[in-house]
Amino acid sequence: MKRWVVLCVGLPGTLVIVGLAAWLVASWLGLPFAAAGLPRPPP
Amino acid sequence: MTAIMAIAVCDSLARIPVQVTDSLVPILQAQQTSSIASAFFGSLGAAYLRPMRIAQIQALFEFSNGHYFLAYKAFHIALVIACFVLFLLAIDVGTAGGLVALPFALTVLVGLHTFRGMVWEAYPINHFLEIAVFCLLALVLAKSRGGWWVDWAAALTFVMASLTLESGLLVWVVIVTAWTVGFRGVSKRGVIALTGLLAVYFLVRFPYLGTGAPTLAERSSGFGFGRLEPDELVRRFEAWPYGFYAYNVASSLISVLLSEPRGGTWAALADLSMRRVSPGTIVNVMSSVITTAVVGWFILTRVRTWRASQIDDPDRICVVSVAVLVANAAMSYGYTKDEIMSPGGVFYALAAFVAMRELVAGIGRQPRARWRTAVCGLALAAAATGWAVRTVGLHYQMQTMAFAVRNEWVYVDDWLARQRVAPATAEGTQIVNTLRNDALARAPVNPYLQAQAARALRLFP
Repeated sequence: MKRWVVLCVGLPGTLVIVGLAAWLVASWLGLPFAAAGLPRPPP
Repeated sequence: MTAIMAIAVCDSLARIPVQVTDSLVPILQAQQTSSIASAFFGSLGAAYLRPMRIAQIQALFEFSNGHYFLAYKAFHIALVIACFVLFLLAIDVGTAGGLVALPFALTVLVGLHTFRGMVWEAYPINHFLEIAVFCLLALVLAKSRGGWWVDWAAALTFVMASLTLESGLLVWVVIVTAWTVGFRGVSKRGVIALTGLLAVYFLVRFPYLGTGAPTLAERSSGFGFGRLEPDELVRRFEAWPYGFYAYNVASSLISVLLSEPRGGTWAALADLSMRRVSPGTIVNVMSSVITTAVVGWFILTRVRTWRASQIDDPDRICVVSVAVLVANAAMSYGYTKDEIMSPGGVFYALAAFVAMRELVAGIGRQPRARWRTAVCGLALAAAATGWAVRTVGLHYQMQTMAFAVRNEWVYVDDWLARQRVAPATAEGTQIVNTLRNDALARAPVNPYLQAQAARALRLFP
């Protein structure tokens, strides 16, 4: 398998999936609120 | 990868409250209906033959025990998970090329505009998503090793799907096309039985119940560069509606292949003529055009071997996908909108997967990279990046929807009064109060605070 093909076709989708995983974890931990100095909303 | 994608969609979905406009009235009607059976049989005289849809709303209402949000959202989330699991079972990742094509196909599945209608709203069950799940289940059954239970499961799937929504008839298209191209999970006897059930459906629908087909006067529809209201549609097309029907079929088909027109309206072309095309529209059209070109390349390179009756599983999936796409478009003859084409969109992603896997393997077999493969690589990178942007866009739009729906609940009493559907009983008022309190207790992010750059760039139209 040519490495550049893997990069062209697979990398954007993989990156977005990794980004979604990071967003989920950050969101569940309330990190965006902490970063903005806001109290976390009640569950 | 598939699990993360599914969990992310479910997470965004769970943030959206039960809608006022499409969900509240059916829930209030369920409260006034005595049983699931009366919901099923009571809907048989309606303008559409969709008794299973009404029965499901009733069943979830009775099962919810007052936890309406939990019951309807849990069912929606279960359908999303089923969609992803069945998609994965249908494609059979297999090789290293498959692993490269999988994230691409997942972003096509989620990023395509037809997917949005399956997850960002419900009525209060999203039956468009249900039909897509039924079609995927039919394909997985057709691909299976077979057995008497597979035939029964296929028949049950068809009955459930066809009585939920008219596009449920696509289950028959999936199974018959799959059998024709060599997927023999459903036996010949099963296919004949299914065709018999299809005949029964038409006999019950038209001569027995007299349930008609959609008429021109029912709703507005996109046409050309704008929308036509029902009275205008009747004035223009009543004498000879077939041209309008052909336009709808062609629009629906092209909409999945090129991401334009949307809802029958060629908005991007209209914007282009005024030189105000948004970057988001360019991303949508560009990613779809390149992906459709890859699918077209796959079909053109394989059609010679198909003529020699040499057909393998990826070919079969591609043929079934094309059949579903065409049949789905044909069923949209009455009017066109993105949601109706959602099963076609899911099968488009299946075809994109098999075509991309073949292309990746083909490029890998070439001894040296030449300028043609370099151009091809650039185009593929552009398409893959475009689909990644569109996938992020889905979540952006779902967050925006969560904010908008929550705001609707603030004015729910005014809305109910305007629609003349305000509950007359204490139980009905209790349902409205429960759902309102539930919606207002949520804290969706105000879209004006999130992704300001995306809004400024008009990246997610």
